Amino acid sequence: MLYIYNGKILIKKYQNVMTLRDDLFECMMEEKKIVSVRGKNIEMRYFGEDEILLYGQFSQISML
Amino acid sequence: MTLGYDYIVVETDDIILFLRKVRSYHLHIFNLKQIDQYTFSFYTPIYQRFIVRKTGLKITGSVGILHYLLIVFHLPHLFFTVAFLISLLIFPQFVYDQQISGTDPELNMQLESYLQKQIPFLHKALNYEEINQLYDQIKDHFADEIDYLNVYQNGGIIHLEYTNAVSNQQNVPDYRDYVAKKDGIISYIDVKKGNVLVSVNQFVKKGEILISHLLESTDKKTKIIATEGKIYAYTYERYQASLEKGKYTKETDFAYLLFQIRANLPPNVKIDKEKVISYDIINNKLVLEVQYVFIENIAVKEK
Repeated sequence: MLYIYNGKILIKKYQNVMTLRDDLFECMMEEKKIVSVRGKNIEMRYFGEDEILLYGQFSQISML
Repeated sequence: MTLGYDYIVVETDDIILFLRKVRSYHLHIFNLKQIDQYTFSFYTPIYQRFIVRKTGLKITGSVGILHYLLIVFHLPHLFFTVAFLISLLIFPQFVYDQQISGTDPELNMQLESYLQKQIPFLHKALNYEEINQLYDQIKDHFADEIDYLNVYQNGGIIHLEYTNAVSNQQNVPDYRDYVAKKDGIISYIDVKKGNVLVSVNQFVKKGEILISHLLESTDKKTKIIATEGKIYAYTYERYQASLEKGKYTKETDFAYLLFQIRANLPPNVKIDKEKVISYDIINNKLVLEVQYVFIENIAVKEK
């Protein structure tokens, strides 16, 4: 589940984080789907048991 | 959750693996930041501190109200906290200070010593009945000095407010005339009650009526009224002083004579002019004569 609001992305019910870089964030969701976020200065503001909050200047969000 | 956070710095070559481990412990992470290639920093909630300890992570700092509350319950601070709480409970049970609000410093001191006698230091806090009793006692004891009184207790402090009993003093009206006690020229008139018979710059002689108790109304009826006031006038006085010749040096003779005259001037007069009339040798004596113009109240009540 993805919520996008004013330069923030909240990802709920993720499985695990795959990539964490300044310009790329990838995590695996249910049913082996991958959420990929591209942009600049991507920061993880909150990392919980079943949700992640990302801050940054996002350019592309894709579900693979 | 803004109560408090622990700040943690961790070194890892695989942050993804570290995050998986963190997730398996159900630990929450805030503001994950990369300091350099292998170093990362983040915050965890203070209420998850026991999980942080379980994972072996080292806490480098803490922020937030919960952190300071936890500090308070550590041993050296705990002692002061308990002492503070006890003092909060115990101090309002006793009277340890008094504050007096009033304009008369002498009466303030009297009230302070009276209160100290009645309520010694660390006396048990007063109840309403005792405060009322204290109010009555002070009212009786200082009946002539105090007009309005308020006594109340705020915590361990007794407050006392009063106003002086000035308004109780009643002036008895006087119907006597005011007459001039000496010759003079009226300078200015300051009369509260009565019929003023003189005007400014008028020359008056000794015994002349200045303020009269009789007033003639427009319907030609004479009324009797109270009198009160002051009438200032320029008065002229000559003073003389003498000194045996050769007693002092020439330079100090005049200064001594002038000092002798000035020392004998009456009090409550304003000196308008001081003029040397003569400075002679009469019968081997140095004689100085000085004329003064005073401004003084010449109105006195007729006997």
